[in-house]
Amino acid sequence: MGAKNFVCKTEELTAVLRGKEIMTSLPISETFDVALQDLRTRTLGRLQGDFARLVYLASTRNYNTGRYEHDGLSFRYSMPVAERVLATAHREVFLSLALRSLEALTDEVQQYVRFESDSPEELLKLWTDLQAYRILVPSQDDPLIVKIFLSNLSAALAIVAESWKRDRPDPAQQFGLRSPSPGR
Amino acid sequence: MTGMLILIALGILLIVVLARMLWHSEPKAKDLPFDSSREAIARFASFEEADQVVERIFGDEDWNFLRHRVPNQIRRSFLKQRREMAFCWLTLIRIRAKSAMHHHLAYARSFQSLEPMLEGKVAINYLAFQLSCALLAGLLWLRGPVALRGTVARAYELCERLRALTEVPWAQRTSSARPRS
Repeated sequence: MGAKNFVCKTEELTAVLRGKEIMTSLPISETFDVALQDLRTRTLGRLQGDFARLVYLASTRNYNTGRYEHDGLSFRYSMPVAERVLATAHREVFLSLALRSLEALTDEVQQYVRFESDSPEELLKLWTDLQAYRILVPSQDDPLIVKIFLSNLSAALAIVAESWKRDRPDPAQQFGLRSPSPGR
Repeated sequence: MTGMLILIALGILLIVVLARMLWHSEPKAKDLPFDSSREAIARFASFEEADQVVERIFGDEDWNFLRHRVPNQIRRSFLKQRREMAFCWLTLIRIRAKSAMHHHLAYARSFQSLEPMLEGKVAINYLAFQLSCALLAGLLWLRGPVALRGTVARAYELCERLRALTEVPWAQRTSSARPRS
């Protein structure tokens, strides 16, 4: 059983390495296109919504150096290709969100808060107070578009926070602690 | 008769003064509230999302969605930010037009066969563009960016027309004529 498993793993690894060999033998522009498609379908396609994709892509950037890092992509293609691909994807997703209407952006934030966070209230408070969303912006972008995005995102967070407050079930009601009505 | 002449002279003087004021109130990179204004100008001039930017800053869609959903303080802050962005956009678009005009003048100086009609048209268009910008700035200052979309669309159209007017003659001339040495 253990030997069979080992053979399978070895075959898997050989296939990956062969794939890497093919990738590195392609011209750079083709490798870039393949890598971008790979990132879009394999990694970004699994995430719920563009806002989650933006958060993910921003998190692949090293805060100290400003360079994008992704072990899987770097291993499969090369470090410069991985970096370029991540930067391109980051800019694409950012632009698509930044120029979207406030309503569409609010829907995205709402979806992110609902599905990606264990404690939505904490997330909303933290993002609003610390303005942690500022790190979502790619470093080389039009400052006016960045301004539009930050302004709309802070408004979207406020709208989501308001709707969250409204929709949240009253704890007293939830646990049946409401005082009895005079008729009872 | 003399009174009439004085009035006409005063009118002409006023037009000249206004034209001079417009000409000299040129936008500067340092007016922009960005850390790297030069880069902002370069990127603004090259980006392809201009229409969407206009839509976001001047359109009323976002405002209509927001106004009944958040407290007063956030509404005020949103409008303030929109106004600031609108002024930035206006400054950037004026810098872009000014740069196109400078290029046009530089090219025009280096050619022997100038077309007075075309040059006149470019000058009139530039003046009309500057007047539109001044009018828009006044309206922004008075009323804010929301509900001014029609005016901005016209200003943007004017800027595009100016660019087309200044770029096409260069292309034609560089292929047909030889510049002065």
